[in-house]
Amino acid sequence: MARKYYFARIEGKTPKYYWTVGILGALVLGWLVASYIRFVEGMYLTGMSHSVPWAGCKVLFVLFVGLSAGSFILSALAAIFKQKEYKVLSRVGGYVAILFMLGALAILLTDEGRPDRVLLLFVPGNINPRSMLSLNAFIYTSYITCGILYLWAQLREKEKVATALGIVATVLAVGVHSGTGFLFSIANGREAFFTPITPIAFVVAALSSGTGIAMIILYTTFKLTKRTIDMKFFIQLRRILTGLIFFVIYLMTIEHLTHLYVPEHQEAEFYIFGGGFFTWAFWGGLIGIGGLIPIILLLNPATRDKMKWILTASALHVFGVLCERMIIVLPGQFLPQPIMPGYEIGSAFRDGVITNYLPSVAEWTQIVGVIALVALLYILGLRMLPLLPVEGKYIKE
Amino acid sequence: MGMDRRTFLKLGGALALGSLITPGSQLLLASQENKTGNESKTRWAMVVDLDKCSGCNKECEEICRDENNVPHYGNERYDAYWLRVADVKQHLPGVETRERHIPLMCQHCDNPPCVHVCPTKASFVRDDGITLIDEHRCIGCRYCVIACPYRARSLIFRKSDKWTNEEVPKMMIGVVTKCSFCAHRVDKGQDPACVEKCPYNGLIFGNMNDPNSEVAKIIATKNTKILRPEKHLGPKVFYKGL
Amino acid sequence: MKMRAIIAFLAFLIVLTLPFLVSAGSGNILQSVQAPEIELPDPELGECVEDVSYMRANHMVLLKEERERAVRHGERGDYSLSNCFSCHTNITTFCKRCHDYAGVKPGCFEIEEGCHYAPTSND
Repeated sequence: MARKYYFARIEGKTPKYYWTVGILGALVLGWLVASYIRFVEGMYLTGMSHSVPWAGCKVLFVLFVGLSAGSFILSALAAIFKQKEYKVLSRVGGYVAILFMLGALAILLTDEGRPDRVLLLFVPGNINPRSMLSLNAFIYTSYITCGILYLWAQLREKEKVATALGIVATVLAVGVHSGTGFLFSIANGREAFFTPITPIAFVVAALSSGTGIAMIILYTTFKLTKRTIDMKFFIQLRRILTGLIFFVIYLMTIEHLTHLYVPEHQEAEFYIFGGGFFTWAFWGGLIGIGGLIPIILLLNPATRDKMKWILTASALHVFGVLCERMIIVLPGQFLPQPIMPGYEIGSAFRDGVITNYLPSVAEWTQIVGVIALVALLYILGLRMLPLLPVEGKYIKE
Repeated sequence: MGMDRRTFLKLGGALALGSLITPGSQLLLASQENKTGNESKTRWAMVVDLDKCSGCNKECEEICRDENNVPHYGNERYDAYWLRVADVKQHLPGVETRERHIPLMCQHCDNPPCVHVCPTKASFVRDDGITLIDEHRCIGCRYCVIACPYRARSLIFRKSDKWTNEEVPKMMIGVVTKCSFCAHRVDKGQDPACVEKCPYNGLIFGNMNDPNSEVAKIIATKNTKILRPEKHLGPKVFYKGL
Repeated sequence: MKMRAIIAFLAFLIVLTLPFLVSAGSGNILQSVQAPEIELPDPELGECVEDVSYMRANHMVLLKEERERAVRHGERGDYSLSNCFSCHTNITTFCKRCHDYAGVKPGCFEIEEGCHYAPTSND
């Protein structure tokens, strides 16, 4: 039996709503101010150095790119695979997916040295087909465009258009995530980056963390707007999430075992596993908190059907994927590049030194600000677009 | 409906394949281009004679900074270097090995990863083999800093007022810079500043495609080494006596 | 509702035309402004690289093309900034007067922020 749902805007007139908008707006303003100061004064205000030129902002960027996928897949389930019950989530899922991608591009843009020149990426003579970043600029923008058109089709109830756009956007989403993984895996200069598995691991971790964050967002929204949501979705999503978490751990194991086997990469692996921050991030963050604990929570019959445990597991897994993103982006840069293998090397340019990095105030402001930007656009969107289903109102066909 | 979905999936698959093939074929074309580029008449190269390098006061670092207005803020984290002299020691546990000094700069590869990753073609290889950065086109994404295996590139982290050589523009903030083989001098027929002013004449610069040049003779007859040959980048800085 | 829309439209119109209104208020727009006089270089130095009228209209294009050639191909020709400055020895009396009048900022050698050397009256 098929149902047709009604969707509506939220009222959004409570003081709580206005307070939230105000606080988030202030944080977004902080992001803009920090980015402007950073642009005018120079990048020395960040914690970056010549050895670690991609840092905190890029971690958030890859995390957000990942989170975008899961929400989109959730939304597209109804459109592509004709899972009618998921129609409830189709609009809000698509909207969240677009927002995460916008957030990713916002942090990417304000992390550049010259954000004023970013349009040079799209000048035909400048396009470099060998550069993943150059191709990604087009993949990202077409993904967002496609996502917006898809949302429009959903809002106008154009089923067939939505299905077609959903398929194109799903293909593009895979491109977006593999492309982001390729950014790192084909960088010739850093030993720890080189691995063909990163793009795949990227897609899988994107799907798992995206599903997790989508569950959290949906549940919180439905709870706060006093709607009830069918537990059935979460049971199904829980199964998908469990499988994906297993897959993430499996891929990470393969990657690090391969690296451990080859002497060329051993130094990097010993650095990651030889104690220190990344050892904690890997074993504690990714495998423990982000992998084993969620799996136990999602498989144990005592906890697996309870909403709060499913949500806890999702949140823990998102944290685990954040750790994984850090392990992709950072340690490869911290390690000195073996310019002359077999020699001890030292210079004023910090050759042969394990560098360190701590995000500065400017970077924290940017990171928090972009997270606030996504949240702000989300709650504004709930008020301006009919995204959420109207409780108990549907037409039987 | 089932048929429709299948056609859609097919279309999607074809789209995905197509989007993969186009960059793939472009890649092939690009590598072809590189091969023909090497056969042009001039190919500038440098030989560093390490036997002559005593590491003095690392004067070439200063010479390079003054020639190219490379900023020096006195902060190790973000000081820019076009050329730096590294102190190296062979790693033999228990044996006291001799410390040597080795000037490291952009190696001007034939097949440079920094140029491959540049999203705006701001980094490029000139016809005479010099790898350069178009600072007016660089968006400061720092991907090339990640990709360079020699750590040759530095970002200009801070506004710089250093302007010791007015023939060369001041450094622009927020872009990536690196050794240019002093392209402004080379175009005038001069040697790079470090080559001309090295107190020990430890650096030799010339056209390696010209069999009569000193550089070509040294490369052909003496034992020289390139850095990181396993990367297959074709660097054009040769180290003699390493 | 209709009133509100009209007020909003008027407010938008005012914001849109604010620059014109401000300069009209200060009286600048009503005066006929004379084109600034610039100090031309010594005629004994010879002709400019192109016609004067052509240079007046297209010098920025020439400079940009020259930049492309010099940076990308190492062909350093006659249209370079340093060649300009060999005759036009003072940017404050030559470049800046016209640029201020036209409201165009030559980013290459703005005294504080530009990267290229330019001779000024202080030299």
